[in-house]
Amino acid sequence: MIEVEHLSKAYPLDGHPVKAVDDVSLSIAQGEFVSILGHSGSGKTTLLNLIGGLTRPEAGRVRIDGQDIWSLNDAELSRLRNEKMNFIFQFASLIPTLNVVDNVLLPATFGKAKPVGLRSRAMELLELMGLSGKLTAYPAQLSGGQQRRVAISRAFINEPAIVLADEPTGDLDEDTEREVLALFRQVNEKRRTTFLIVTHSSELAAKTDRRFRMTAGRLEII
Amino acid sequence: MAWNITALARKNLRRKLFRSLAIIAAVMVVAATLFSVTTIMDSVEQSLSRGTARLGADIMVVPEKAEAAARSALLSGKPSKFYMDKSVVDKVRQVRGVREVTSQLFLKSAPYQCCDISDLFLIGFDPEHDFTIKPWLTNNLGRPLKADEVIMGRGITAYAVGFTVNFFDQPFKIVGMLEETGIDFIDNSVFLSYAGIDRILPHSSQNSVIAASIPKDKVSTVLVQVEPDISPDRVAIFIQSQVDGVKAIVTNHIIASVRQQLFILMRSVLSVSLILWIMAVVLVGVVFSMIVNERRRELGIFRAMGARKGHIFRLIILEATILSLAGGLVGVAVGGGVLYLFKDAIYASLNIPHLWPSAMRFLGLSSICLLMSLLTGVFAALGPAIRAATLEPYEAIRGGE
Ligand SMILES: Nc1ncnc2c1ncn2[C@@H]1O[C@H](COP(=O)(O)OP(=O)(O)OP(=O)(O)O)[C@@H](O)[C@H]1O
Ligand SMILES: [Mg+2]
Repeated sequence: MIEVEHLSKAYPLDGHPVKAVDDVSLSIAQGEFVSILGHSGSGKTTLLNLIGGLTRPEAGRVRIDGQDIWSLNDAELSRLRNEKMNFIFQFASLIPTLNVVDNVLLPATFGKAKPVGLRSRAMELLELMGLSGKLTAYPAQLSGGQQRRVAISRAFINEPAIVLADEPTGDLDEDTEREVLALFRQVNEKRRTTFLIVTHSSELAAKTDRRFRMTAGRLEII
Repeated sequence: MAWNITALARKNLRRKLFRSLAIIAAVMVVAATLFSVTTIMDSVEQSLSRGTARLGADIMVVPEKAEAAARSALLSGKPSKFYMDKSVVDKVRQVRGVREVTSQLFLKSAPYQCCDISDLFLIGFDPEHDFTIKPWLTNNLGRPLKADEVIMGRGITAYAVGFTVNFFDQPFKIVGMLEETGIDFIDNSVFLSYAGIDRILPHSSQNSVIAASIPKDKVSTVLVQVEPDISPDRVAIFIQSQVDGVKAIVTNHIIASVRQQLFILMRSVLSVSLILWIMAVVLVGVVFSMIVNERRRELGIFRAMGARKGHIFRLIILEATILSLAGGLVGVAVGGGVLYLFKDAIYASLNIPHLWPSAMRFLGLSSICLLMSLLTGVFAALGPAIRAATLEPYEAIRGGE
């Protein structure tokens, strides 16, 4: 359950603040499959990062399962990020010193438990993403789309309740995009994982259950 | 627990191999200098404290004219002979603050017969009262030294316990070896009782050259232990004012003066070390700032994946620890190696007593150097590590573009 109330965040531009996210409220129930559409610069990434607790809002509140995330201390918030949600970033986000499998295992690195059995799970995910042949490759040896697919596998390793995906299919071809979306759907249905997908493709958005549009920091339902 | 932070740190260090090696080299230079300087200092310190402990006296009374000779005997180990009248012993005994008194007589052996060592320094002592040799005798021999027995300094390697050696045509049995002190004057001397001196006296007079070198009713030095409630300095002043023609040397002063002499010698080395150390701290600090800047996005992603501030801090500090420990290890090896290869030349030029440290002491000194190297690296990386840990994840991720 994600609850966002009157969330705002501004960035200074030429001396005066520009609202990247402007008084946004929304509520997403566990297991929903939701998309946010919007033009470049409309504030989608900023909103996603606010929800994930990666940046602090100027005003408003984010609640995950009823818990105000900015009332948590660093350890609690880190744990929330580690166990409850995961991110698929808009840009290349793999760690260059780690090979594909270790990149997928990264969230487990910071987790509480020893990653017993996680390695085989990582391999399964990578196989699902069509990357079984690249397990020991390093990010620099992969194409943009392959890197993206590794990042997607990584998001699922800790079986998060929420996946925040920022243009997850940005650099994938149509077939792969379809496959990825099908995987998201499958995970969504099997585990009731919440998906919040940022995209500028209305085609992709059409396949989600609920759609929002962001315009200059403001959010509306479409 | 984060089970794999060490692996992350290691992998990152390997990625920037050249930079890692540069830091290791910087720490290495500091550690090597530090290690060799402290080892030299320690060897001198050890030698002095053991030497003066062997001497066991608070004050050494010598003929006034022989002061310089006595001091240099203790410091650079060149033994020399000097004598004063035996009556000095009783005079010193009367002085206020004096608890115990004993005397020693210095002689030089001479070639008298084939195959015995000549040019050895012989020290005659009073087995009944000597508090410098007696404790050793009690502990090691368990009985007083007989007239035909001697104890040898550790430096005389040609002989061992059980051998018999001739001095002035008289056979003496070697019954003990003293612990090495690094002071030639002690290590290369043969200790025998006054009764033993009496044995060789008549024989020495057969040869005029040698006869001249065996003085009668003379002593070379009077060794003094003071009462516990009075300072050796004061007693030394009393002795000098009450006994004519003598100089009372406080043994602690010798240690202090050697320390000072050594410090002056080492001062330039020490200041160079200090500059090197500052440079190493700055270099490591700058490099780690660079590392943190370059890896902002990576660190932000770690945070997004659930790393705590503490994990990030530990990751950076761990990298600094690995590099500075490696630098420290190599530094200790290099410093120790250079010192070992050139120790004779180094100590010869310093011209002060020294005792090459035992394995245990080496271990201690290396540990201290390793710890110092470690602290250097960690200290230098502290600022960058704190900065890395407190970056806002989203800012870090964006800023890394
Ligand atoms: N850290 C920042 N500093 C300054 N301005 C920022 C920062 N982050 C975002 N902005 C600004 O906030 C606005 C929203 O940015 P954001 O990245 O959220 O847009 P977006 O909708 O994700 O765009 P895109 O589709 O291109 O990814 C933009 O005008 C951007 O310039
Ligand atoms: Mg964006």
